[in-house]
Amino acid sequence: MTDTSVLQKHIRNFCIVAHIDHGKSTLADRMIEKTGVLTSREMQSQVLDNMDLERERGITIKSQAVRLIYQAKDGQEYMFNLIDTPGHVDFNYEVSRSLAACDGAILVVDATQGIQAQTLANVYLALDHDLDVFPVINKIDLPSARPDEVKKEIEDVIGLEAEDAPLISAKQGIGIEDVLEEVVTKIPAPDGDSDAPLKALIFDSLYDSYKGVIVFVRLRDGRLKKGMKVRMCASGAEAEVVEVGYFGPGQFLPCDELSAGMVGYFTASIKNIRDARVGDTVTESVRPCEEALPGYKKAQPMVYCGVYPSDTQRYPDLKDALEKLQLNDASLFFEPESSLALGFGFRCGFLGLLHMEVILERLEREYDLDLIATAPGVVYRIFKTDGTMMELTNPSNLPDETLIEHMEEPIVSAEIMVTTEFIGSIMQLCQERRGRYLGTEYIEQTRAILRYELPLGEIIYDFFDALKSRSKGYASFDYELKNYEPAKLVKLDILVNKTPVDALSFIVHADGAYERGRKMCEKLKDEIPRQLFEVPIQAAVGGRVIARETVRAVRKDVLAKCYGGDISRKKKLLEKQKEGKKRMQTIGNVEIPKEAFINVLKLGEND
Amino acid sequence: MKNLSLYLHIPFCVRKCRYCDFLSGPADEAARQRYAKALCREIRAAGEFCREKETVTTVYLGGGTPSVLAPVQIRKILDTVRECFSLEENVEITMEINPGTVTEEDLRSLRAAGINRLSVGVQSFRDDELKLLGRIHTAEEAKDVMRAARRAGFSNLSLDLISALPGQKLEDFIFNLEEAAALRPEHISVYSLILEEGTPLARMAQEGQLPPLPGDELDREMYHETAKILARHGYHRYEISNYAMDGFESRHNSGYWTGREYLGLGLGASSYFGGVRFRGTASMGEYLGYYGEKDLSSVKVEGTDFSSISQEGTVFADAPREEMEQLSEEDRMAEFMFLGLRMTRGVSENEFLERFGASMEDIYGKVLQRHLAAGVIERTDGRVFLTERGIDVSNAVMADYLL
Repeated sequence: MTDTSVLQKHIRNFCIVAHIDHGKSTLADRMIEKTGVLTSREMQSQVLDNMDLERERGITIKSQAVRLIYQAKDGQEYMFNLIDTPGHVDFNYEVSRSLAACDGAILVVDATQGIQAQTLANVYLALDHDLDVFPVINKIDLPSARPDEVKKEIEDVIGLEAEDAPLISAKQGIGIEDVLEEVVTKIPAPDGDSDAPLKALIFDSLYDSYKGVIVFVRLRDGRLKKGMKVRMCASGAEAEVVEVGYFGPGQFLPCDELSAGMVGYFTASIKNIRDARVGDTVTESVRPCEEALPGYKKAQPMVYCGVYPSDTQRYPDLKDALEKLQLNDASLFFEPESSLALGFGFRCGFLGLLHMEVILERLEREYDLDLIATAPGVVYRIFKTDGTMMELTNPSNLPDETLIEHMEEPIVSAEIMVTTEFIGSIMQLCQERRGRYLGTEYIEQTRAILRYELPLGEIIYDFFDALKSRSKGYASFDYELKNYEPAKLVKLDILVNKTPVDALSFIVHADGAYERGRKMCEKLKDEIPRQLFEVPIQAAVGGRVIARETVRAVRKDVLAKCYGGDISRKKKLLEKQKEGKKRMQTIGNVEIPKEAFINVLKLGEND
Repeated sequence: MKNLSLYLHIPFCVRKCRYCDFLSGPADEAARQRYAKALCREIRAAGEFCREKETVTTVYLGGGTPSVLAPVQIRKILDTVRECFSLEENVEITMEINPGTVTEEDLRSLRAAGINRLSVGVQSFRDDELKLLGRIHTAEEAKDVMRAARRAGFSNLSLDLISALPGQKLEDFIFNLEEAAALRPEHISVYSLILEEGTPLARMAQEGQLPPLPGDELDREMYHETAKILARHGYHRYEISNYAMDGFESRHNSGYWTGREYLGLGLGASSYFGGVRFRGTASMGEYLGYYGEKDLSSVKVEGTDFSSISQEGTVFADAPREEMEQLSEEDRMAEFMFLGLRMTRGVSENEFLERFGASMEDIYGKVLQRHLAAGVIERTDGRVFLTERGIDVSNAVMADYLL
């Protein structure tokens, strides 16, 4: 079968949406197997996730696509373009760009857990993109599966017809045929005119050092061929197509042309990834389309932190690594900054806490860097007395109090799905995090959705961990940015021996300042070795000390005897001592090991 | 004409104490004979080496337990020293002795041989403590030997104590101090116990066979009590661990703190001479092989750092060494500081300037500032010295002066 022989009405472009761990990637694997593109022997588990990190964490980070050929029961051959989407809330932005390339979506719901917070978020996102969504119920092989209740939930909560939803076990390979058939019948064929001028949406891109930018496209109209001169509508960049192709499992397969409705890629010796931005429309230079596709909003980083190499010598390596990562992940933001305590590094912006963790891990793993990350913070809006507003991403840049009229912080709308027995403790948690209660919606007798408005700054700290531990793992959570609201915010400084440690400063709500300050002091106290003198560790707000700990002085470090003039031995002992001091950073005359910062800044602490 | 000190190491004892990690052990009479002879040859070689005949101001016989050698052997060694070096008129000649190894008659012989200062290893006046340490004598024997030394004509006695013994309480230690002071030695050294790796005492501590060791708090309390109590008895502290009646500070040890040159002779002994620190071989076989019976005229100089030394002196220069280090200017500055700071009078800024042609402020300004702020040193009248607090943490302080 050549590519052009596929009739447009036999193309299905779709994705799978699900709450994390509901089996999306496993279902994708099974569909790839069943369509016979690969033999079972060739199948690695979870073919679509080809980054090590994704496999280990069981989440899909970078959206990818695969073309499958399916022989349907109606005797026809169909071309499926399965576009993988990340399941996590942090990657909503990537989800939405993947959805823009689809005409329909499969909603996977775990038969034991039912609808979870991200199930809702992803379904709404799919419906927003006018996709036809049909549900499948997964994990029916588990003893605790309750498919009938889950079907009812889907109908009641989401309003999707679920009576005939395929009951499957992706893991066991049960019911996969049904899913494939549903794709044929429930998901519409793409519309669009192959003879009209080229109009293709860039939904992703990748940088390859040999081929330049590899542009992922969904063709709305027209055809894309080798040798064609194309233009990116927004950037205005022009290039000659070198290669077109589609996505095999984990690989690129070149072909002659792509036509309306198809999903594939092209390369055109584009060196700068900015010339082929995600969301831009590709058209033919000589015969451009009349208007570009709507595209999408650029992702705004929501969480910021400072990232420093442990070994200051490796600053250039970190810079290089960030630049490379940014090519594949346009949502990563960074700019240079320096810290008294940590040296030279970068202030980095991320879509969320998980995004941050993933990037930091990739930097350490793929670029062999040892990093120190400062406490994550959000973007605050500072309204100054001179009438201007600044967006604050680094606490060190906070203007003097007298210049600030008021400050605003980002607020998110959150949905927390939880079994009723934990409602009390979760509500208490949200209360502690300055949540504003909006309401409770019961899905069934034992489960409910709690709706809250929460300051983003309160949930990036350790909210996920707290949520998990207070619900014994039964709560799920999703959020989206709502707006900015005025808040009583202060900058909390940590002082070691009366000297502020810039890397440990952060913005916090005035009511929580004492608690946070106390914890930071306690933690730091345990990390700073005893010095020659007593070292006060203080937390201060606007020059006023609100918490204090003391590192007691070394009591005794004296060698009484210097035997028989063996000065060399004494000197060696002192040299060893000096060696130990060299590895420390001196702040306020206090020698602090680098590990102290790392440990104090470590994320996901239980306190 | 330079001043020089001599240290003579006698690596023998009756039995090794449990806390001891010095180069020492029991030996038979024949071995002691051979060693004493070899030591005399080394003294001769060293005398030739120092052809300028520096004036020797102090001699120190340490160990081990030098008193396990017969007084006649000691006499022979000292006679050799006199023969090969010119001794200052009022030279200080100290010998370490152990109670239980000398009679009053021995002491008379030692006095007659020229020893004029004794350092007596008493360590404790409680028999249970002495036993725990593995000492070979009782408290009563220690007192006896002090009295016998007086009768034998010694007018300069020093007494060693160890503090912070396993299970020791403050009052136990104070008892030891009072007993020591009651004997009226001219000089008292007090060291706190260090469990050196590989010693039986360290093993016992590891295996939980010892009463608990005093913590840092109690250790420091004992230390500060020592100064107070001994002051009441007329002793002043002049170095971290040393106390003396006026005018009886150990001249020999003071030499170590002030950068005076000294030659260490005998097995594994350390020297500082001509800007070089070196240490003789610690192997008895090698030592006896070199300074033993064989003809030394065949020994040739090869690749040593000593400039213009006499042909005869090459024997000493070419002797087997464990370590040899030519000190740089920086090393010398660092030593000036960290050794000088052991003394209560500390270091002189003028002396530093004279010696190194740079001011202490230029070299150590930042460190001094930090230490002053931390209250570990004081800086008055052109001198820098450790405070009481500085003494407690002197290792950490001194390490900052390494360049």
